[in-house]
Amino acid sequence: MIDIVDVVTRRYHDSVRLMQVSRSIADMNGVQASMVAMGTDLNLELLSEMGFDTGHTTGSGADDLLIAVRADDQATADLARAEVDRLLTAAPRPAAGAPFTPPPPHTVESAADSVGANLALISVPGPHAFVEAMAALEHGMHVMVFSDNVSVEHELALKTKAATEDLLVMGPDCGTAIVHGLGLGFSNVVEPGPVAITGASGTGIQQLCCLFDASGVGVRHALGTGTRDLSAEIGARSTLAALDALDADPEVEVIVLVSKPPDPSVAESVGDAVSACRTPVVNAMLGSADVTLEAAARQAVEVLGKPWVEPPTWRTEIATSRSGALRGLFSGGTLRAEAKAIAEEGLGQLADEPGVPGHWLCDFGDDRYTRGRAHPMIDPAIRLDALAATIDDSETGVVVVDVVLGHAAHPDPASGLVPLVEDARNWGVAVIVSLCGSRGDPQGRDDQARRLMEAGAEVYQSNAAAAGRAVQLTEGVGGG
Amino acid sequence: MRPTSDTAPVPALASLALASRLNSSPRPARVIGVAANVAWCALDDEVVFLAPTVAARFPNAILATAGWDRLEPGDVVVIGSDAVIGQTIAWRVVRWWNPRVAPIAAKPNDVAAGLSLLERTLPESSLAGLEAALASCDGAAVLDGAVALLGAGRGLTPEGDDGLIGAVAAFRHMTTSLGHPAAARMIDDVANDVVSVATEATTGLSLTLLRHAFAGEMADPVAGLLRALTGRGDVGTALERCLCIGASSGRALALGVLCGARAGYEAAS
Amino acid sequence: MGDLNSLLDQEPVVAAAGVDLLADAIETQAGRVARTDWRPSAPGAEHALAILAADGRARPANRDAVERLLAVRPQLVDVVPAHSIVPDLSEGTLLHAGPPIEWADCSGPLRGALTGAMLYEGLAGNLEEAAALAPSILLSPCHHHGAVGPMAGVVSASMPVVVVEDAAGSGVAYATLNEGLGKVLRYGAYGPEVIERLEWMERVLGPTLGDAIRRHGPVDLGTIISQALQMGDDGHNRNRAATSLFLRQVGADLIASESVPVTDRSDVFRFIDSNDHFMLNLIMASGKLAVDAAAGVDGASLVTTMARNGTEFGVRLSGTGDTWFTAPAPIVDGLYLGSYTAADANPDIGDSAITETVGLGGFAMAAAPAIVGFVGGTADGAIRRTLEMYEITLAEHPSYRIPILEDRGTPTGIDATRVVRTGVVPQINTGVAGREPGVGMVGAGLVQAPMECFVEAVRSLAARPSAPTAAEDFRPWPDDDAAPYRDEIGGST
Repeated sequence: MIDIVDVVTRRYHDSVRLMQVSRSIADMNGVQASMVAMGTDLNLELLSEMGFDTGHTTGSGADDLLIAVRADDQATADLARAEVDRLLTAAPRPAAGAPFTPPPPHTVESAADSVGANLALISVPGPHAFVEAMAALEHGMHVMVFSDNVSVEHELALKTKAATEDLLVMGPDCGTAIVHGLGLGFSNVVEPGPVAITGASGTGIQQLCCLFDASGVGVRHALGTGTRDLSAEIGARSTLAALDALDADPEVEVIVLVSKPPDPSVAESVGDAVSACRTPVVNAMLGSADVTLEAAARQAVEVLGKPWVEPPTWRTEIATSRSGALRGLFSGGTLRAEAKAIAEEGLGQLADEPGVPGHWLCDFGDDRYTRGRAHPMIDPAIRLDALAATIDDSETGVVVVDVVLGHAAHPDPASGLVPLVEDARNWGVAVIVSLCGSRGDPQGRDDQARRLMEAGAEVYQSNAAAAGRAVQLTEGVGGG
Repeated sequence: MRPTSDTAPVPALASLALASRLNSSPRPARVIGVAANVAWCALDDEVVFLAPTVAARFPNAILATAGWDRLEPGDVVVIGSDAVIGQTIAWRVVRWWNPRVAPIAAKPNDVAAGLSLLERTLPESSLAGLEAALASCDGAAVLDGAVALLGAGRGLTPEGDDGLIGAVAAFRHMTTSLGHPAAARMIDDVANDVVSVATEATTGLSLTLLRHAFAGEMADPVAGLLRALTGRGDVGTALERCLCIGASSGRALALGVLCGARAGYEAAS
Repeated sequence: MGDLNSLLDQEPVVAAAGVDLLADAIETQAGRVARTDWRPSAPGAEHALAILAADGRARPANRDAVERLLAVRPQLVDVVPAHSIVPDLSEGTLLHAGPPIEWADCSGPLRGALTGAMLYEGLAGNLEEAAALAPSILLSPCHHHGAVGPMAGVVSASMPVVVVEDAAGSGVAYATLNEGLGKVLRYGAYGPEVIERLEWMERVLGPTLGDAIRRHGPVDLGTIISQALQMGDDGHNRNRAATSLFLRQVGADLIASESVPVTDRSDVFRFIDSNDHFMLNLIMASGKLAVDAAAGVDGASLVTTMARNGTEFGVRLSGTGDTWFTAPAPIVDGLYLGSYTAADANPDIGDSAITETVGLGGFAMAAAPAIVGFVGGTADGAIRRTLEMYEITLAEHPSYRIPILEDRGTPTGIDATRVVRTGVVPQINTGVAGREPGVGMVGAGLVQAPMECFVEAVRSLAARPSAPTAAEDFRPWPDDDAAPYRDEIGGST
C-alpha cells in the first residue's frame, strides 16, 4: 500500500470541481482512497482522519491544493497522481446542447479541435494558403493544399516541415486524394479495395480509379502530392513519403505511381525508392507513348490476379471527320499529357495553346486559365467557349475533350457539351470524349455517356483509347 | 412507404459485409431496439445497426449523420437497393468500408510487448477455459468453452458473447499474422457448431456479431487493437478507443481480444 | 508529431478552410468535416505572416512566453508611497496610462488628471499655474516603471501604491489605490473634493492598509481572482466579488491596527466596502507582473501590453522589445450615465486593458452574466465573445476558470499573429471618461482593439533579424536544400 500526499502551493480550484476529481481518482482501479481539496483546516483534519501522514502539510493554507492518494502499489499511485493533474488541467468542452451558440471557428486549428480532425483541407486563395497549411502542420495535422499559386519556396518549407513531424502534405495544387476511402477534392466514387495510388497528378489518379472501377477493383488510398512534387526543386518529397507509407500499409496489395513527365533526376530517386518497396509498384510516370494509364491499370489488376475488364466505350455511329487538324481541349493536365504523348507518336510535335495552325492540345485547368476563376471541371464556361470557337475553325478536323465526373465536379457536364457536339457533327468535325467517370459517380456515368453519344460523339472511358482514336481519325485511317 | 420530408436522402456509409443485403431488392426490417447512439433492426436473420457516422464501425452497421435517432421500436424501415427508407428516415448508401483486417507479418517480440500492456491494463478475465482450448487448437474444447460463454452476463450483447466475439476475431488475426493457418482453419471448423448453439442460446444481435467475427469481420476499434497488437499502431491508444464502445461492451471485447490474441500467440509459438 | 501510418489506418476527419464546395463533397460522402469561417488576413500583413509561419522559432518562443505569463503567482505584500519604491519617479515626474505622449497631444481627461496631480503634489497652486507648468512636466508611461493605472492612470510621487510581488519569481509591480467612482482623478476630475480624497488616501488609507497587509502577510491575489470569476466578476468591469473577498481576507488585520485611530480604521473599511472597483487596481498590478515576466522572449508574438492614453491605443509584443505600436484610440461602444451621450465620450483610455492581456475582462466575459446588459449585450453574446477570444490566444488559464464553460480556463495570452491572421481583435470591457477635463466618468462599455497596431507589430516582428547569438547557426529548416528559403528570410530583414 502506498500513500502520496502532495501540496501544490497557491493553486485554487472550486470545491465542487475538486470533489469530482477526488471521486474520479477514488474510482480508479487499485486506488483505495483519495482526497483532492484546498488546504483548509477542516480538510487537513479530514486528511489525517483518513490516516494520511499530514506531516509535511503543516503550514499549508486555504490557498494551497492538497492531493492525497492511497493505492495498491507505487505505479498505480503515480498513475493516479498524474491523473489528478490531467483532470485539473484538461480543457473540458461544453456538452452538445449547451445553452449558447458557439461562434464558428476562424482557423483550421480550432475547426479541427471541434471534431478531432487529423487532416486539413486548404483551398483558400494561394497567397494565404501557406500560412494556413503551416498552422495546420504545427497543429499536428496532415494537410491537403488544394490551392494553387503557392510559391515553390513555400511548398518546400511545408514539405520539409511535414517530414520532420511525420506528416503528409498533399499539394499545393493537389486536386485529388482518397484517404481510407474518403474522397477529397475531385474524386470518383470507388469501392474499398487493395489498390493504392500516389503521385503528382490529379486527373491521372482519377483516370486510374475509374479504370480500376471498370474491372471491379477497389481503391484504398490515392494520395495526390501536388503538381510540382516531382520537379527538381521539390525532389518528390511528398511522393516519397506517400510511397513509404503506402508500402507499409498491410491492406495495400499493389501501388501505382503516377505523374506527368517528371524531372529526370527525380525520376531516378523515385525509381530507387520504388525498388526498395516490398509491395509491387506499377509505374505510370508518363512521358512516352508506351506508358499509359490504361496499361498501368491493367498491369496492376494482373498483379492482383484479377481479370482485366476492358474499359467501356459508347458509340453508335462511327464519327466521320473532314480532313483537318487535331485539337484537344482538356480540363485535366495529366489526361492532356497522356494524350499528347500518344498523339506525338503519330502526328509529330503538337502545340500547347489554341489559336495556332495545326494540331494542338490545351489544358484549360492550368494556372493561366484558373487565376481568379473556378477550375473548368467546376465551371465549364471558359472551355465551352473555346470549344465553340474550335469547332467554328475550318482547320479543325477532330476534337478530343475530356469530361471528368465525380465529387466536386460539375453536376451535369454533358448539358453544356451536347449542343456543341451536335454542331460539330453538322460541320463534319469528329468529337472524341475521354469520359473519366466511375459507375457510382453522382453525375451518372452511363447517362452522361449516352447523351454525348447520342449527340454524335464517340465516348471512351480510357483516355489513352480516346487519344488513340482521335489520332487515327486525324490521320484519316478512321472509319472503323 | 416514403419519408415524410421531401428532402434528398441523407448520404450513408455501410459495412461491405452488408453489401449483398443492401444490393438486393428492398425488404422490410423491424426496429427492435433503440439506444442513445444507435437503433437496431431485424433484417432476415441479420440484426442491422443504424447509427451516426461518429459511432464505432460495426460489421453490421449503416451510418449517417441524422435519422437513426428518430426511430422507435416497432417502426418498419425498408432496406435494399442501397437505401434505408422509413417514415422518418431516408438514407442512401454512398460509400462502403471493409470490416476485415489484413494479416500483418508480426514480430513475436512486438506481440509479446502488446499483450503484456493489455494484461497490465485489463482486469483478470473469466475466459481462461476458452483461452486454454484455443491455445491447444482443440476444436471440441473450443466449442465447449464457447458454449459456456454464450448468453452469459449482462448487457445489450451479453458480456460472455462480447468476450467470445473478441476472442474469435483476435485468434484468427493473430494466428494468420504469425503464420499458423492450421489454427485459423480450426476456428473455421467450429464456426458452424458454435453458431447453431448460439441461435438458441443468445440474442439475435450477438448471433449476428458472432457470425461476422467467424468471417473475420469486426468493429473498427477491435480491428485497430488487433493491428496494434501485431505491431502497427500504439496499443494503449487502440485499447482506449476499444474501451469506448458501448457501456460495457468495449471492456468485454478487449478482454476477449486479450484471450484470443494470447491463445493465438501461444498456439503459433 | 504526426504519424503517417495512422493517417492510413482509419478514415480521416477533416477540417476545411476555403471553398465550401470541397466540404460539401465530403458531406455528400457521409464523411466528417468541420468548416472554418475563414477570412483573409488583415491587409498589409500577408507577407509578414508568411515569414513568421516559416520561422520555426515562433511556436517555441510563444510557448515559453505564455508559460512565463501563467507561472506568475501575484501576492500583495505592502502599500507604500510611490516615491519610495517606483523606479525613476522623481517629484516632477508624472506617470500616465498608455503609450508615451506629449502634453500637447493629451486628451481632456488625461490633461484633467495631470492637472489634478500637479495641484495635489503642490507643483502648482492653482489652475493657471498648472496650465503654465504642464508643458514642462516630465511625462512617462506607467508601463515603463513597472506600474499600471486605470483610465488616465496618473501616478505621482506622494500617492500610495500597492506592491505586488511574484511568489514564484522575482518580479514586482505597482498600482495606485482605486479612488471609487464619480468625480475622481483617473477620469480627469480635479476639483477640491478630488484633491481632498487623494490627500486622505495618502494620509489614512495607504498607511492603514499597509499596516494591515504587513500584519496579515502576503495576500494571494491569484486565488481571489479565481474565486471572483466563479462569483460573477470579469476582473475589469465587475470587481464586486473580488473586492468583497479582499476585504474579508484583510478585515481582521485592519481592525487590529491599534496604532491607527478607530475612526480611521472604520473609514478605511467603509471606503473599500463602498467601492466595487477597489480590487481593479490590484488585479491590474497582478496582470502587469505577469506580462513583464513574459516580456523579451525572442521571436514571441505574445502581446505583453495593450494600453491607451486617451489619444492613442498602443500594443507591445514579447518579441519586439520596448517598441510601442500605436493607432488612434477608438471610441467605446457603451451605455452612458444620466444624460451623457457618445458625443461626450473621450476616446478609449487607461492601462486597464492589462486585464484582457492576461485573460480577464472581455476575455472572461462569459463569467460575468450580471454585466452583459451593462456592456450592451446578451448572455449568449457574452459567452460567444469569450469563446471567440480562444481563437487568438495561446493558452487556457490554469486557475482563472469559467463555470458556465464547464470550468474551462479563460483564453489567455494574445498571439498577435493570430489576431492579424483571423481578423479577430481583442475585446475589451472598459469605462468611458468624459472628453472634457474635470467631467469624470460618463459611461462604460465595450471597445475593440484597433487592428492597425497588431499589423504593425507583426510586420515589425517579421522584420527583426535572427537572434544575435544564433544568427550564424539559424536555419529555419534542418535541411540544406532549404537554402533558397533561408535566403529569402535573410533578404527581407
